[in-house]
Amino acid sequence: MIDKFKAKFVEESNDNVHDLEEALLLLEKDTENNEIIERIFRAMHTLKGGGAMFGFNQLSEFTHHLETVFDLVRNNKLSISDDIISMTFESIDHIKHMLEVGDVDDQEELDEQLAFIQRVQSYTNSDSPSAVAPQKSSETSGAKGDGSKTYLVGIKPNQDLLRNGTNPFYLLDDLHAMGDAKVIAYYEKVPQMEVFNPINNYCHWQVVLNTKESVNDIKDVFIFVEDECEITIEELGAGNLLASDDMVELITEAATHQQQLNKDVLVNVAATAKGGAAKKESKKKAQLKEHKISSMRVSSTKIDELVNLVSELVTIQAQLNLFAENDGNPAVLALAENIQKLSRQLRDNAFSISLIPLQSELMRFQRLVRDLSKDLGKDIDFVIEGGDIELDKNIIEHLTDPLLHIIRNAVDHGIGLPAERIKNGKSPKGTILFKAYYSGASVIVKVMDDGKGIDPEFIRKKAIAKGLIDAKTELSRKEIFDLVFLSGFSTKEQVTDVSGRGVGMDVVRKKIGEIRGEVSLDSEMGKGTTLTLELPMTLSIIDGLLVKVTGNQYVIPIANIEKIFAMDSVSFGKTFNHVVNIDDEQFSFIDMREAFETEVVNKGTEQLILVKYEDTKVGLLVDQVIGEYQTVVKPMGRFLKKQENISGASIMGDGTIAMVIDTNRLIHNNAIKKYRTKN
Amino acid sequence: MTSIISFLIDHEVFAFDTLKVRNILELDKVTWVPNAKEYLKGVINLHGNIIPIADLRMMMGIENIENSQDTAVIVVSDDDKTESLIGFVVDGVKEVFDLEEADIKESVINGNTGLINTFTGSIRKNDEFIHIIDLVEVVKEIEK
Repeated sequence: MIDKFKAKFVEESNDNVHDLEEALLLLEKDTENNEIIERIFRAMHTLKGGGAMFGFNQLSEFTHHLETVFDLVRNNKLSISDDIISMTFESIDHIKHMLEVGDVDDQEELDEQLAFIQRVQSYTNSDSPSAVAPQKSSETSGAKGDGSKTYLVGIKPNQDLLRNGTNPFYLLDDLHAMGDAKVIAYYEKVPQMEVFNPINNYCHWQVVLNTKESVNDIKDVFIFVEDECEITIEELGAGNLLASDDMVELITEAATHQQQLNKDVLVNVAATAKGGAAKKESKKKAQLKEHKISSMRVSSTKIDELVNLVSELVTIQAQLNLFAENDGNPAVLALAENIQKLSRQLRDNAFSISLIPLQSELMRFQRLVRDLSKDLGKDIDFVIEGGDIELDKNIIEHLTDPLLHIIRNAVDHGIGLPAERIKNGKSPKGTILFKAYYSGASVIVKVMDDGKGIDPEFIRKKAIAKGLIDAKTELSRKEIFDLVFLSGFSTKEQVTDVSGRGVGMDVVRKKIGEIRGEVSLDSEMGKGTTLTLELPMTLSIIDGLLVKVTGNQYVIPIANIEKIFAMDSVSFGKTFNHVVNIDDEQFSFIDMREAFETEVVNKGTEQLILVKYEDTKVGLLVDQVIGEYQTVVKPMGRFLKKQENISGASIMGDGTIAMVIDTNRLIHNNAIKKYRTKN
Repeated sequence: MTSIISFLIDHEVFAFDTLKVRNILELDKVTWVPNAKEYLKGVINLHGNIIPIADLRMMMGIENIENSQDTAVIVVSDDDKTESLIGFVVDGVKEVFDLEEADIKESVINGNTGLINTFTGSIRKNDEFIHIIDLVEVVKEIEK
């Protein structure tokens, strides 16, 4: 578990480091810009905090010193110099290294780190930063920067090398041709003259080679002897390491003593020769090579764009299918089918990219519950079930505020103080259960508390007192609980810090409505309250029923539809006060033409669509049902947001527009209208 | 130096800042949106985006609105976002031209201009007054 967090921390820190680098580059151009300095400071601060939390103590300590430098800069006590900038760049490289290796206990590394920290500290101690000796690595001139590298090449042929007619000296000649090379021949295996077989090979070689060619080019030299030789190529560092006298000495010594050279020894020598520059170089190189990308961050706009394009594709594909069916050409049909398969896979894939687990948001709530309950003197357990349920990122974004409100309510109003709970025969510790699960094409999220519960009668009285309903209105239990979602309804008498500022559940419903979700409340006195959110898994594609109302086309989401009836003039004749009798059952219905405030012309061919609304069914009267249609829902833009009855619009195959009806909102609004007119 | 695009509404000349204008279209079929404000004529499909259409003539309180061959839709966005795109129906688009900001004088408008009350200013060109409409205020009015 902790490893997972560590990995996550490293990933995030790499982003931070990246940001740091970017900001630093900007700062280099604009050293007075306070915003950039703040940005750098913030990034360092995050690294420091995170480092300490996830066991990167050395990183944390190091960053602390670096942060101190920038704190001085921030407070205008130190001005940015080129020196500071290059020091910071080097520090960033060091941070990267530390992120990769974590805390080390290797003495050498520790010394190095300490030296670095002292160097960083020198900026904070000294009043005149210019006094700090430039610590630029003392590069031996000409040793670096010509793009060449030095390699250790090992050639270990097997005994049979010579039998194939290979002359190993040609190989060595080839290496010499590539650049500066020093060859050490090892002949310790050559036997006594008596047993010596002239067609056997007993030697092997090591070559220290400086060349501008790549490793692959070196490998190419051995391309014909790969099977007979064991070839090793190790990079020692950039620049010509053979230029250093120490190196040459080491090689000569190795040759006389027949001692195998290994990379580390050579690198060390090279490092001392070059004042540590080479070592750092190789460290950096290794880092660059080892970095593998297992996940990547993509800007969400790109994902939105992808999902949009896929949505378009799905629409076009539906048209193609229709065309192919009408056309009847089997070849076209087969093509259309294949495209359908592909686009379906593509759709699933694109949508899965935009899904993120609920868990990511829930961590914050866990903390919230903990802090809030402490403040209020309550003891509350926040239990999460189904945190791995995935939802469209846009939905999760919209979910934060409503959930915050709901959970606050549960902590503040739902669960009582421990003493109170004991009196009611409950355990002093309350529980808030957050439960998420799939149900068909939607995701159900329930937030349940085991608190006091809400008295429906109390809600009713309150609603009457607030003038939200008429005293004589008969309401079902469900309808009563629904009243809490009306604006201006807050049950707590006193406004508290935590919840109950008058804006409450109505905002929750509105927010959830924006993502085409539903919210309902149920409560049992003494047992607790449950809030249920029903959310769509994705926002952009729905299965709809295309209908006509006064000349315009509309889409009704099929998920909400129960049944469709023809409204012949006979059954129409029996309607009274917008209640219709079908199959001996009574349904209230909404005449869409009235709801949309258009002319009502009864032709006797109207159809009634029965849709689910909470736990009842309500009819929607339309002029005509055209058919089923899979459709992409597009937003209506900023200026029509207030238009609640319409949740979006869909562009049809011929370019015309059909608006998507939000049945819940439509019924809700028309029901409200009824209450109001009664008042 | 700034640039404006002038148009006609009931024989008077008004203008928008050219930089805010995204498209100029013929007035084609507009899909009516239920329960919306009267001057919001509906929505159109512009390159796959749903764009609301407001009749600027109605907003200005013009009573006899007649569509002609010249009737046009000017699509604008006050903040460059797709969701803020909106088309305004006008009696006809006149011209685009550059002007010096110093030439813009305070608007003096007699009579009723309906819901459009705020103007950036007016200029005089070829014996005509051109009133530059403050788009931000119009947008605010629509969002109300």
